[in-house]
Amino acid sequence: MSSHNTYTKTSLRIGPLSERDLRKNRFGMSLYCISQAVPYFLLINIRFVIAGNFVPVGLNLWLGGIIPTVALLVGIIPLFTARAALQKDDIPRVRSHVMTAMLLGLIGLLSLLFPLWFHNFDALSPFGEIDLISLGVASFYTIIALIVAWGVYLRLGKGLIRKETGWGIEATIWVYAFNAIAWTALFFTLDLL
Amino acid sequence: MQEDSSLRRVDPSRRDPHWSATTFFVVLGLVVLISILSLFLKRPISDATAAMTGTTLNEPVTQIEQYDYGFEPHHITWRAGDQVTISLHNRSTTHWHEMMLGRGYDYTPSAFGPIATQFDTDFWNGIHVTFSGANHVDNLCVNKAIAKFIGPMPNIVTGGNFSPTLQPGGSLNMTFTVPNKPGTWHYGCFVQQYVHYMAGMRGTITILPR
Amino acid sequence: MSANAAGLSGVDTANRQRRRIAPPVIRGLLWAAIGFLVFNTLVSQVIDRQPYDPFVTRVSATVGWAAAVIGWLLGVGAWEVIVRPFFGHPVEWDIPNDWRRYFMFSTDHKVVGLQYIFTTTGSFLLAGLAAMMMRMELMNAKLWVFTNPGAYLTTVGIHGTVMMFSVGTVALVGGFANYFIPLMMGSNSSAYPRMSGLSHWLLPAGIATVFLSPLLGQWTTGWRAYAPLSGQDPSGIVFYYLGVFAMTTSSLLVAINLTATIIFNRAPGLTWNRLPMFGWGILAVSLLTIIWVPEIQMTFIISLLNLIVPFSLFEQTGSPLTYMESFWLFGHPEVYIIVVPAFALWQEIIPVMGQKTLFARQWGVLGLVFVMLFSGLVWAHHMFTNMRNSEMLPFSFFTEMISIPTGFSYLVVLGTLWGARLKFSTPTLFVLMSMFNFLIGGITGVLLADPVINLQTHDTFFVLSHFHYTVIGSMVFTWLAAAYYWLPKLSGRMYNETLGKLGAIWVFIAFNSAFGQMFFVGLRGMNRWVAVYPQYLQNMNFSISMFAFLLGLGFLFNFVHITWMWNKGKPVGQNPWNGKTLEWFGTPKPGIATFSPLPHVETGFYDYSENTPPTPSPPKRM
Repeated sequence: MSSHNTYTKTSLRIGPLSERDLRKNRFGMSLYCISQAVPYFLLINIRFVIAGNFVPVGLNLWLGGIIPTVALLVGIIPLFTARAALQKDDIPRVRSHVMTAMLLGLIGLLSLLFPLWFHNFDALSPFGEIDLISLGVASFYTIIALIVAWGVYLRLGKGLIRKETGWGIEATIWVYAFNAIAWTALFFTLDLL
Repeated sequence: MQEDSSLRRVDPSRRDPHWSATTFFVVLGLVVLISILSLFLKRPISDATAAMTGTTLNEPVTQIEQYDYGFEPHHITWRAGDQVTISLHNRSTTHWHEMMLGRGYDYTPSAFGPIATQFDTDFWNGIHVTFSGANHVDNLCVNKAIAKFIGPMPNIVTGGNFSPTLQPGGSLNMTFTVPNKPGTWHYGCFVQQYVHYMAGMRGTITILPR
Repeated sequence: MSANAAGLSGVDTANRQRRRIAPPVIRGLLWAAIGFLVFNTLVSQVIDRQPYDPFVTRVSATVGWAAAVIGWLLGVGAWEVIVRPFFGHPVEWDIPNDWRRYFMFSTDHKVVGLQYIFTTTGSFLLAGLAAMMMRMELMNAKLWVFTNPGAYLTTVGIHGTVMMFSVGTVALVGGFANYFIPLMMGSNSSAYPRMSGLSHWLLPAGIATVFLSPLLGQWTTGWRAYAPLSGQDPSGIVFYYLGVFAMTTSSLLVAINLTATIIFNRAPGLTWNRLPMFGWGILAVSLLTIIWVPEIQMTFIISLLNLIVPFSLFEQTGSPLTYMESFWLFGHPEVYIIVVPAFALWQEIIPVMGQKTLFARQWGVLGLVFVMLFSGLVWAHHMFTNMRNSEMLPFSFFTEMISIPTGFSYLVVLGTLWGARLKFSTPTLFVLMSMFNFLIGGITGVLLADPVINLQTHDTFFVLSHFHYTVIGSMVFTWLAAAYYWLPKLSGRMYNETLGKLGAIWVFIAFNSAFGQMFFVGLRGMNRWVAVYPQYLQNMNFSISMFAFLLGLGFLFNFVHITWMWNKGKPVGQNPWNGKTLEWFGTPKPGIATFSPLPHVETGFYDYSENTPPTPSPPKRM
């Protein structure tokens, strides 16, 4: 045979991840979270350097604020219940819970995107600029989280994720929860402090 | 990340992975060649294309921002014959600002001595200017320029030199071909009896001959 | 589709005409072109029409570029290896066992390492060509090669950007570390092989973007993209931001992958106490990359939005100083991202060449770690001209402090050299030259950390020469040392010792003559960022240019020599240097697992004391 398979045996296996591989994947996800938290720190830093703690009067705290925060934070819960359901190998239930999380994430995304177009502060002001960039960054990471959840949802449908091979669900929890918590911190420092 | 659950394989012999070396090298070579040509011969190629299709080349937009009290940038260089769009934006949150362009001063006597109210020579005389994207324009005096409007019409006034006056946060685009008037020209805001100008709200434009 | 494929019977398969796949790189280019055209047109003609209807605007170029890079990555193989499996389809990606594997998506760390080595060498030559053009221009006090100063400054910017983000940051980490770190750890794979495969293909996309930036217009800011200058130039800087984004993402993925490889893929018995020095160096560098690269990416994204929306955050009406601070906050750790792997390699190569136990190994590790920790505290010394005197003091202090852990690296190597019967091979020569060069770079660095001298020499060739001594002098020389040192492992062949020494002496003399003179021309008043300068500096600049051309030829000589010997050199055994790190005990061939079974480590790698068994029996059981 002239061609060969580039996947070594360890990564070809469909079976469960070893304890070490599981720790390795969790470590990778934590590096993802650490590295991607840095842009949020920078945004918060620049906001205080450029706009002080100014918050415009009449800023709409609901859209691009409380609604996405609540939607994203609440969205973490069905992912955890999905993982619990996976332990019982109840795949339809897992799917419906992942779907719930995706719907909440979608609500969060739309309410983040909406104020990019309709907002009652001056977009070309120090606060307005940094706030719009923050909304854009949060939307980007929400889209990432949604894509991850969507892939897991489809793989669940194909029967590829089972009790023993539940890393996909856990990865979704990492990405989704990181986005929710990072956005909450950003919202808190930008609009409330 | 590693997600072993999804790594199922199918019969690998369905597709032949020995892709064609000829296609690879020929196409890659062509792409590299085109990149190098477009990098070093950008101007001749675009000139030739413009000549063939009969279009004019658009020069980049000159972003000019007004603030209290200054222009950013405060020095610009244009070449006669270039098509230029000035995108004027008033960054101030409180003040109205205008932008006049010309040479020399036109003094008006007053109790405090003569006050420069505008430039003596108006740069814009006889130039075809297209205005677009008018937003919060307080008033626009076109004087002897030949104006065309795309989009919302600003409030047109007469009297004095060519000058758009923008409300706080306002913006306006002006597109024109740089006339063959080489040398140094000045721009400035003469609002509030010349005080903005005195405070530094001015700049210079160098026009290079064609 | 998957059901179909799985259901094919053997007879069907045999009868079926096997379809030849398109060359992945060509498919990537095609998908990139389609992505750019579709999204660029959509933005510039439908969503965001500008007056006079230009086909490419800043916004449309940005969106089109993003689509093009995604198209390129999918085209080279991410579609089959990452995206389709992610949505539950089976993997259909076979890699021929020949040269083709280097031009398609691969998850084999050896292939990825070689891809990185080729790409970085290619970009080094191209960016070096840009440097040659610059030196050609500076041979004469008048403008004569370039037609305008902007074109010269754009060339300077491209040279700096590519050298920084695709050679300095990547050559040792993405190239040699991707190849050798898993081997040194006694593993057959890196931790996240698919991510590793993806990371390489971002690099050529980034390099091409930066090189093609003049298509959008000039940019005169250099690799630092200083605001508010970046907002006043024509639009070329848009491709600078985008290209750097691709290249830094590549570095970030490599860093995450290698960190996890070092922590989780160590062979049994390879404890932290036995971790090779290069492993420590790469670990330190990866942590720096993981923290600082996302920082600069966000800064550049804000700058890009600043330009295309446009905002005024970093404009004169905003706060340009905030940009500078955000940039140098990354910019100085970047220097250590470049240099720390070089320190680690000195400590890797010298004990092998001297066949002597590494002196004070713990202090070497401490040195690498503390250089990493201090690197975040020194950044403002780039901006002394923008600061109050009182603010300079702490940064001046920490900058001078960092020479202490740097000194550890020197002392460890010197202690190892002490009394060693050193084999004067080409790698040894390059390491010693590299140490000499970095010493010059370091001493002038201490001078520059001193505000008095810093303010005097700000933006002169003195500074330029200083950082070329630290980057070329140490990192590029060590890169060549590593290339010669590991050539027997990469190719199974040995280079020619005479030609190797000739190459080393050639680049050493040319480098020191060219850049040594730059200190003096800088002190005499030669500014950076100028294509035209006073007449009295012309003689010295002419002489610098001559040596610079000689240096360029010298690098070319070394690359040609290495390439030649890669194919035609004398075949050599698997451990010609009698090294003790694990990579010398396997026979790495791309596509085949190196270690089977995995090795078991029983002692450290740097112990050459009397009672250890002599070669060829290694001090560990395989």
